Amino acid sequence: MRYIITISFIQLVGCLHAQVCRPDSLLQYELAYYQAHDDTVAQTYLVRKVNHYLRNRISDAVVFKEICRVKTGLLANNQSTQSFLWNAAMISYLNHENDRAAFYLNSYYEMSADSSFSHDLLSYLIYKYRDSVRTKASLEHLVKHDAVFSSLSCFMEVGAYEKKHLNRYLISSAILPGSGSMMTGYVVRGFISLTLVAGSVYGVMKLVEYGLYANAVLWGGGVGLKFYTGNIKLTEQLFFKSEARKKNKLATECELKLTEILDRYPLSLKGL
Amino acid sequence: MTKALSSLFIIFVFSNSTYSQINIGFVKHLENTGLKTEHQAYLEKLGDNDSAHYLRTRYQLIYFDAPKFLQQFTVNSSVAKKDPDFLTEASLKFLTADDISKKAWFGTCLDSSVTGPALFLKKMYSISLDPKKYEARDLPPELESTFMAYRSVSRKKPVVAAFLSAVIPGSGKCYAGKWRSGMMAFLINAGYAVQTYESSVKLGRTHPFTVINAGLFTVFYVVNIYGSVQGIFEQRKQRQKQFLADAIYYYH
Repeated sequence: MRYIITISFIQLVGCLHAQVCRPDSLLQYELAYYQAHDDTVAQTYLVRKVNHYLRNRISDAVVFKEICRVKTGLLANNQSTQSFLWNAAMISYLNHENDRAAFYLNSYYEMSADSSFSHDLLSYLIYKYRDSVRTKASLEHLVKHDAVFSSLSCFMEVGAYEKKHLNRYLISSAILPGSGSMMTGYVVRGFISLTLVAGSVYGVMKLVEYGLYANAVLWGGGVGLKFYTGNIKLTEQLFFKSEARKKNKLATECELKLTEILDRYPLSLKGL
Repeated sequence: MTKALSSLFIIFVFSNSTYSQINIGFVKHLENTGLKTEHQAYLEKLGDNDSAHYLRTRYQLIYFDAPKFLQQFTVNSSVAKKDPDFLTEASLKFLTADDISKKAWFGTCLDSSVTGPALFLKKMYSISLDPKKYEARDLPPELESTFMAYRSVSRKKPVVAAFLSAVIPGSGKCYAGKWRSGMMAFLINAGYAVQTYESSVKLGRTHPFTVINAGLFTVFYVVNIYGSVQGIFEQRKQRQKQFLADAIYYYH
């Protein structure tokens, strides 16, 4: 689910083909940072190093690690810092570090007072599963800009998705083996469960009929009981699988809508 | 403490004017920040001398890759061998490495001239190979119990475990120290034996149901013997691992 967003995001920021930075250039930036006598200057070198990665279309964990090294409090209040904070928010989001992303976006907003739709869109993406109030506010701003953004409200439905009651399925399987699995949509597996448990019961009855009591107890207690408890465990597994599938389907539909929107309103890195 | 001593050693070695072009402070900075790419790029710029070799070997130790480290160490180890903390750190890492790397490091790279903690760790490695040759008094008191447990397991013979399991299913596993698994093996085998006996008495020996029961009993019986032998090897490996882990813990 997150992967689709990441891909579309990367496409939009122009980072589809990650390249490799020349180690020499990275070394030069690091040496400059190390040798800098002033803290602000040192941080500026780190920002340049981050920009160097981004110019080379690298947005992975290595860049995120470099971003984390930057002490934002020591940076000068200028355009370059604003760009860094914006880029840091985007890269943190792409690396699934939403807390960091939110921190950088807030710092960016405090410094730039940017109320553009790009800011609202990134804010929506970062907060969509975390803060329903903020998400709603961002969405309202976006819808004012273009009604097409209203389709993004589906993310709130994904966030609020509630599972059905598992116990109902488990009780059903305990009474009639396989029925719980069938109810989750896995009819064949449910039928196999039913057949195995019914076969075991029939086998045990036949053993009793032939007077093989020890065999009846051991086969029934071993294999039969295993099939019966296995049927209940299988129902539980299939229930979670089925619920996850439903939620993923809903989320995937949302991602596709988001991809379409990002095609029309791309988010891009700043100051490179 | 080790890091501080190591830093002192590096400063001492590189204060020599011959290698003044190496920025040791920067190397330490790269080590501490974990900037692998930059670190490697910097080391590649250095010439081909003992100090550069030492730093490259240190790099392989920090981003531990046993084969590459051994290769680098074998090419030139003149400075590295003079750094006791380096040898100790490497020994600690090799104690948890694979068997081949362990053997190469402790058997070949660490020669008889080694002293201090590295020598202690080398001894621990030797003990882990064959604990029967050593006595508890050869070790610090903190390691006695784990050593005794390891030695006791290493004295147990797989043949005895197989024989015991053949006579009484599950007893071989109990002999290996796996009591729970042994009891389970006994119950399963006893269950299949009872089933086979009952069906052979009531249905006859050639009846398909008796044949199925007998077949299952045979499979579980053979698996029980094999499991007992494996149990001994597993226990040995587990105890050896525990002993080495305790030795590392004791060192720290």
